Amino acid sequence: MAYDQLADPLLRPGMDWIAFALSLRLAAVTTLTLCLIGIPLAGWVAYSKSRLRPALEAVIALPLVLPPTVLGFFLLVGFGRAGWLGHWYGRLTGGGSLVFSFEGLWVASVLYSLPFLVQPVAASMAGIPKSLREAAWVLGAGRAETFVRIVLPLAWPGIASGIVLSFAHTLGEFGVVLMVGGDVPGVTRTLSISLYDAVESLDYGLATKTAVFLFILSFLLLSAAYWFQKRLLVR
Amino acid sequence: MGRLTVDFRFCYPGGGELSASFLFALEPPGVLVFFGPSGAGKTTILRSLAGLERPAVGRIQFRDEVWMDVERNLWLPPQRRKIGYVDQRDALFPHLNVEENVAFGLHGLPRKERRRQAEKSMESCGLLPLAGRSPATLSGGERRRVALARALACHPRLLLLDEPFAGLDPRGRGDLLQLVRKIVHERSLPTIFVTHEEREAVLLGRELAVVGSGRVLQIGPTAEVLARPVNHEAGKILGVETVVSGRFLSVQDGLVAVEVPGGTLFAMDRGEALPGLVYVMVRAEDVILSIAEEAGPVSVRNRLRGLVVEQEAEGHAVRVLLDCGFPLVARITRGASQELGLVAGKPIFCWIKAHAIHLVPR
Repeated sequence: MAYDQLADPLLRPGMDWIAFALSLRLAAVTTLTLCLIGIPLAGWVAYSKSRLRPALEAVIALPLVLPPTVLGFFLLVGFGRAGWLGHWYGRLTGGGSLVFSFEGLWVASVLYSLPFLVQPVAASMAGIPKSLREAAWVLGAGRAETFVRIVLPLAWPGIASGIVLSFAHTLGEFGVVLMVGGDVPGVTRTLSISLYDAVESLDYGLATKTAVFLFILSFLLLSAAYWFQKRLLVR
Repeated sequence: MGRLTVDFRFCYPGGGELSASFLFALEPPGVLVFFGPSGAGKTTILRSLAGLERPAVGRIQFRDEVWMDVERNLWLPPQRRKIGYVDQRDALFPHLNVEENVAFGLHGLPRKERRRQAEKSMESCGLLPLAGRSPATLSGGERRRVALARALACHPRLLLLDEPFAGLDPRGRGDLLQLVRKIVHERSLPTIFVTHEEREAVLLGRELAVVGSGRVLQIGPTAEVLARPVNHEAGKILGVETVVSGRFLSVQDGLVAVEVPGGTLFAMDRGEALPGLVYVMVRAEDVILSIAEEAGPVSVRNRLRGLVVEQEAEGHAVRVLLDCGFPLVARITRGASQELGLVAGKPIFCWIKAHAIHLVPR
């Protein structure tokens, strides 16, 4: 079957599996990136004595309260050729674009899902008694070594819960994706966009399938996240 | 000469100050005990030595290595002070077993060497049978031993122990106390030990530092500090039960006469210049009670007439409060109390050797 036929939900009997695969891919790379950026950031949030801390915490938490369209709009402008981010990205990649591309969605998703990783991780790190880190310092371990050998292993329930939450949140993203990515099949059309498309084209059968699928998936992922959080409380 | 020189002032975030100024000779290695009521600042002094707190001004120098000099902006982080530190929270790493905890500080060594040293340290603390156990399954005493073994495995140059026996039952305390004594002796490891238990202070300390009201009040050889508190407050902290105001009268034949309410006391002349007003201090253990006024010639210089006010049992001892014109406290055995038939209101004679009367300028 030709790609275009597969991608067009009206021509296929089942769900838009291409969109689902794209959603999974986006959620996976976003979560991976979040781990690399968000876990050290969470360490800073948990332990910093800087006066800038409340401001940075607020910036991280903004996506929780901001309408996705606001963030999407800023990113769209920033990612465009005229925006400095888009300009730089174009120069670095030799003509690549962050708008209406998978890479753009990736960056947007990382920003948008940041609080879902940072907050649970920072909370579990802040819950580790300071005496443990101090004991490690006196035994000769530097800050970085203490972070890797003491903080990370002890914060793992929070990290696991943060990973699941940010993965699930990226899967379910809609507003930001639509603003930054548009609706390009196989490139930026995620499962939640494909649900929107199905409703637009009055295909309620497909819409129901997609909605129920996303509902169950999200439920399972959240159950996993709460299971991890419970482990954290029990320990 | 190898010594630890400490002279700093620490400002608490909520207000209040602590100043610590003392020398600790590292050769021959011995134990310096910080003694004082809780909240006096003992822990802050120890944490500052460990590099876990930053005093506002001052200096800490270990041999010829400067650990802290605020004026010259020098600061050696805890990682590089090469010390052992154990406090009452023991702070075992819950995700590592006993052996991994003990080997934590040996990370830079090859695997074999790390294992050998960890085992050596566990053996000296009697932990070999527990090597594979998780800290969560250990008793309080076992946890402290692991914390001690973990600190010792890194071959520290100075051992800092902050009430390491707190929260243990008396038997656990006794066992751990013996272990610390043995280890400090075997390893010739200079140790600073914080406690508010007089018994531990006497058993462990070569030197004793009294900490009270935000400063080190007195430091010196243990017996000397216990026998001769430098001032009223140090006396109170050290458990010198009787402190009474007196007026200096005269010195004659090596005896100092001091007027106190209800009579005159004689103390040994220690050659100190005394002002007109002094505190007279007497340890409760140094007071002898007698029914008879004279039992033939006795060497005791001070014989006071008093009344028993009340008695209070303290384990196998009895603490007797007497009225000799001033409140005097005696501590005698329970048997002695029964033999003398002590009851409230009974007249009694109190004998105190001139040597046991300690005068402190007011």
